[in-house]
Amino acid sequence: MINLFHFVLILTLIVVVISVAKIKDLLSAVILFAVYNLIMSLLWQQMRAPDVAITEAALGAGVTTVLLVAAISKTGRLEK
Amino acid sequence: MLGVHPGVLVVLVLLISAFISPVLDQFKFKRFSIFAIGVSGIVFALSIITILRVNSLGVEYYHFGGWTPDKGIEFIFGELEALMLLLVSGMFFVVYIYNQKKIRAEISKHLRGWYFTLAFMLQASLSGLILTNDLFNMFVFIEISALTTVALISINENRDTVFASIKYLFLTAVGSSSVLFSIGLIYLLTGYLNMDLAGMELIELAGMYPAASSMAMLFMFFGLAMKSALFPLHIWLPDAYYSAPTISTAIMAGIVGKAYIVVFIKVFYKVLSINFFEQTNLANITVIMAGIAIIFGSLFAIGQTKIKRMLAYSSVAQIGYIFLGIALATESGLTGGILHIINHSIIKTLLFLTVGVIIIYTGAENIIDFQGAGRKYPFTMILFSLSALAMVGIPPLNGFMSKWTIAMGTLEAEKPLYLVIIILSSLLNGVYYLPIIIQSFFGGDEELGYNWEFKRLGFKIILPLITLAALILLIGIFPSYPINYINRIVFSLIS
Amino acid sequence: MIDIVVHPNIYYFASIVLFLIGFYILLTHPNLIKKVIGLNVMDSAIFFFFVAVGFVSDGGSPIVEAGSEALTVNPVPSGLMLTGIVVSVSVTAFALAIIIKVYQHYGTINVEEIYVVRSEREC
Repeated sequence: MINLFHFVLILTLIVVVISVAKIKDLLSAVILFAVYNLIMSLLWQQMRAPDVAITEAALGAGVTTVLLVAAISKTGRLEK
Repeated sequence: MLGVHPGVLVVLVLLISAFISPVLDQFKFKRFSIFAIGVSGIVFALSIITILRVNSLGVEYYHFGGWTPDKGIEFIFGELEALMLLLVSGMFFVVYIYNQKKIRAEISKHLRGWYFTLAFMLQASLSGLILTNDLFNMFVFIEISALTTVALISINENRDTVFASIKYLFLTAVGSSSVLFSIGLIYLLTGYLNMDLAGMELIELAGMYPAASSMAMLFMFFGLAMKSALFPLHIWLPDAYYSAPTISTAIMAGIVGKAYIVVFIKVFYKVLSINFFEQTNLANITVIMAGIAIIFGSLFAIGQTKIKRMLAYSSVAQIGYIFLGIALATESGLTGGILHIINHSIIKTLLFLTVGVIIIYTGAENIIDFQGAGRKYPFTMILFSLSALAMVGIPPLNGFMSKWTIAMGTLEAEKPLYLVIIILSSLLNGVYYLPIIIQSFFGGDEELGYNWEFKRLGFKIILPLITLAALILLIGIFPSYPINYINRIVFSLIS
Repeated sequence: MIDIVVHPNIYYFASIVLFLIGFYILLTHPNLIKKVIGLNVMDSAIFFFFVAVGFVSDGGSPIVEAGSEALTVNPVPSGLMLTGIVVSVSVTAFALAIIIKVYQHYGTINVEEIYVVRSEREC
């Protein structure tokens, strides 16, 4: 007996993670990774943990994405 | 003193010094090594006070903020923790005294202040790791020590260090995630994060929920074995020991690996009870892995050409000895395991320090270049020979005592195959240590004549080497004092 | 809200599935930046597990007034996860800095090609 919204979010999470694994272009993978962190943050807000949700939104979807894009700009963009 | 136990001041002093060091670096402070010797001397004195106090007063607890143990974090000052704290503080003190002149010059000049920041933080996190009685606090200290160890390896940038540090970072992050997952499972089962309370709850809960308890134990075993470099999860160790500068290698080999093994003992004997460890056959699997580590570590070490890699594979074999002693779960086995932690730490640190002298002063990296080094640096090679013989296990040095006790443990647990493995590996140890000793004193094609190096090295480098060698001889000739102390630890852990 | 009938432990199942997918990404892809992404997915899955440990269905927010007996969510595990998230970001930042250095020294961030370069140098 769980909420339909939670169930849809969990299914989206699993689909996004599998697509992050399959995509060869690193920049698209990083943007999908930011989507993954955003949905995770939304899920934590739904589970009544707002402080963790704010932290994850700031760090996961913000800082980690910026760091990864900076690292990709200095190395290659395509995974061989 | 100040109303707190002196052991708590250890972590506090080290953290304050770690944050003062960059400020001093901004003010163009030049005498960092004296500052480091001073701070680590204070910490060493505090740890001596701690162990004397535990010896007379017994086990004590310190609750942070006054919270009771089921809600807050507490530090425990028992016999095992005081002994390991003394070992960690003493080894850091000795390594900082050794850090002089040319050895210090291995790290570039503008990074020296930052190096000591990292080293102080590493020592603070290792001391906190040993002393803590709370599972999540242990995880935070594990993460701090993992990050600072990687930074200590990659302080010089060249091809080898960069490759070794990225490999070590990935593997140790996987290990930390496993440990965190296991802590989550233990919290889900028992509702406590304190080690004593969770252990008491798990004694009955492990029978009611066997799947979740065994999954918690398996993930914790995987994470801690990855960090302690038990075979076959040891692959980060040879590259990391080979490419790091000499002091970093001595710190890693003698201290960092041992702290994770102490955490292994604490978690597997207090939280997940030892009966459960044996029931699920994980103890048998650990014994088999340790036996393979002993043989294969020595076999890999024989074929190496560079001396630091050879010593790294020798470390893999000795860690197999320690895990063999711990996983046998008998009285002699655990006593031998804990004694071998102390012995191996002293012997390996002395080996890396003497090899470091010869590498830095003569530039010799391969084993072939050690021919004739015994005539140019005879005192250093005498100490190298002493510690190599202690590692092989020749009486009356300390390595013999711990290997003998572990062998007694294998007979108590009725696994005589491992007695054969221990004897065989002692022979293999001799195969790769003895040729170096003989070649260094009698090989090479220069004239025979010994050139004592006391003036060239100076007093501050000779003193730590003599201290460690004296400890090797003392523990070997009078083993009853440490063994009586360790028997008290084992009695409180097993019963 | 609309409810559907699934197993009540689905949060734990989902977190373990995500952990395994993250571990798979870390193990099999030879590109170092993909490995960092896999490590982050693994850590996020463990944080999800912890927050699900503290979740009570039909529980309210953990703001308690004195004397009220309302059912609330357990706030302890989500408090622990603040530390965990920050540690994960630190490890990611450090790993990316070292990866940039690897690219400068070896010219590639593919693990198989790095091994080829290292073995050529040894001979």
